[in-house]
Amino acid sequence: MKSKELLDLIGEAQDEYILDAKAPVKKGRPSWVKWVALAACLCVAVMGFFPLLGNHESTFVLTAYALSEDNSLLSLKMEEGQSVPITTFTAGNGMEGFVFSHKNQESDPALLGSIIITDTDFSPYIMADSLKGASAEIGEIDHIDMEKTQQYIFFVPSKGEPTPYSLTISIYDEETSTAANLTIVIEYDENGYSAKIDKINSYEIIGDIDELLKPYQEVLDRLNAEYDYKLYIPEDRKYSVYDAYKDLSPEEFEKQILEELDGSTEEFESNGEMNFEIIDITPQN
Amino acid sequence: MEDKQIVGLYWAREESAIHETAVKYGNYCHSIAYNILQDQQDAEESVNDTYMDAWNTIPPNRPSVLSTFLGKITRRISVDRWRIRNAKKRGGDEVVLALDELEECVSGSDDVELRAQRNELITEIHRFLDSLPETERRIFLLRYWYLEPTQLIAEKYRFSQSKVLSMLHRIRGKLRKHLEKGDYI
Repeated sequence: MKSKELLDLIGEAQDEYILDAKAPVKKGRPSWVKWVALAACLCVAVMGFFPLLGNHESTFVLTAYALSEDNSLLSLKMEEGQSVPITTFTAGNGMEGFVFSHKNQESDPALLGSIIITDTDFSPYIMADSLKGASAEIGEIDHIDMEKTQQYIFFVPSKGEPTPYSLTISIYDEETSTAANLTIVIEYDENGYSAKIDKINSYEIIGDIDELLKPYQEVLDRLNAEYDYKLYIPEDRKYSVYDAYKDLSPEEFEKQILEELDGSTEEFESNGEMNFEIIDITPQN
Repeated sequence: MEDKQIVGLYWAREESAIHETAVKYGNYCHSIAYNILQDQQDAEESVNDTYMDAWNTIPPNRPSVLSTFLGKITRRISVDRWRIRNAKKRGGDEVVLALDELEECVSGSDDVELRAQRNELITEIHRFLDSLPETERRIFLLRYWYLEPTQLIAEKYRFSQSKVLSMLHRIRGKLRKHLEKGDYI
């Protein structure tokens, strides 16, 4: 058999697997979270994620936008589990996307009313710019008069990405020192697009993140020295790294990291979450 | 419009079937073609050929999953187009790389008998994919079905590129073993 023939045979893979391969990656946190959550979090000198026992969801009101048939703007408050109709909007630069907003808790007045842009592939051009730069890049969004008190999210599905789309919006509430990740699912049917909040994870932010991460950082330092690895926790992923590993002892953490680096398939599957956070920049031969 | 309605238009020989297909799946097919051909014009031509192929094959086909039905056509047409083009000039490097990588899984010899066993081999590929853990299966298909660059896969999964490369190497090893076991190589 020749490799060309094998490539053709792979082309006959099962339909469900072909579609599944393109589905959004659910594990880990999207890296654009750093734009929102961390820009906000870093303004505050407190840290560490702990799941809340109380119900703080009401703090995180998310608004979805749709155009009615006569082109008037509908702004719809979203509630967990309830679908609301949405439509796409055109930005000044011609990009099409869905628009959501939430109350702006940003301390920096320069960031008020700014737009976060994201897509399901986290395209580099979207990642590359600063908040204000990204906002300037897309211009104004048709039909929407942006309010200074709101933070807008302009979501552009990737080219060719089949529905449902999924995106996570991180909101930080300074007043209650609480952050939440809201997972939104966008579906398409004969009535058009609809969005619903699929899941809300909220966290109270207490303690010093560096202090909390210290035992894990020590493990990484030791592995780096011992095996000549170059593992580090990026500044902007500290919270999510802590959140991913907080239930592990340093010994368990070390074991997982080693298994991870070893590429053990079974372990990789069961502990896939950790892959998304720690960066390995060990030079490859 | 729902897939069923679009397929219905093909069966009714309504030309709007092609328009509706383009609206719903044009981008999807284009992204598959572009990954393979790395050229806008070639990708567009492959997508147009996909519509023609769909027009000619529905009926008699009545695909239950229209997206992958079209995707498979686009992939096949694009790989064929790449082969013709590649005979003349360089380009579409992801296919070259993928083919090099897949060399590890095959004997490299021209086996006429195997061609006659195509359906059997497809079943083997299905079994192999069934046997893979979810993440491995997704990454394998992103690389060898969608022909996505490993860097892009790494970004999607928040892995280092070297991790993706080593995973793919391991999966190819499994595929080789799987094919050896069935005496296909």
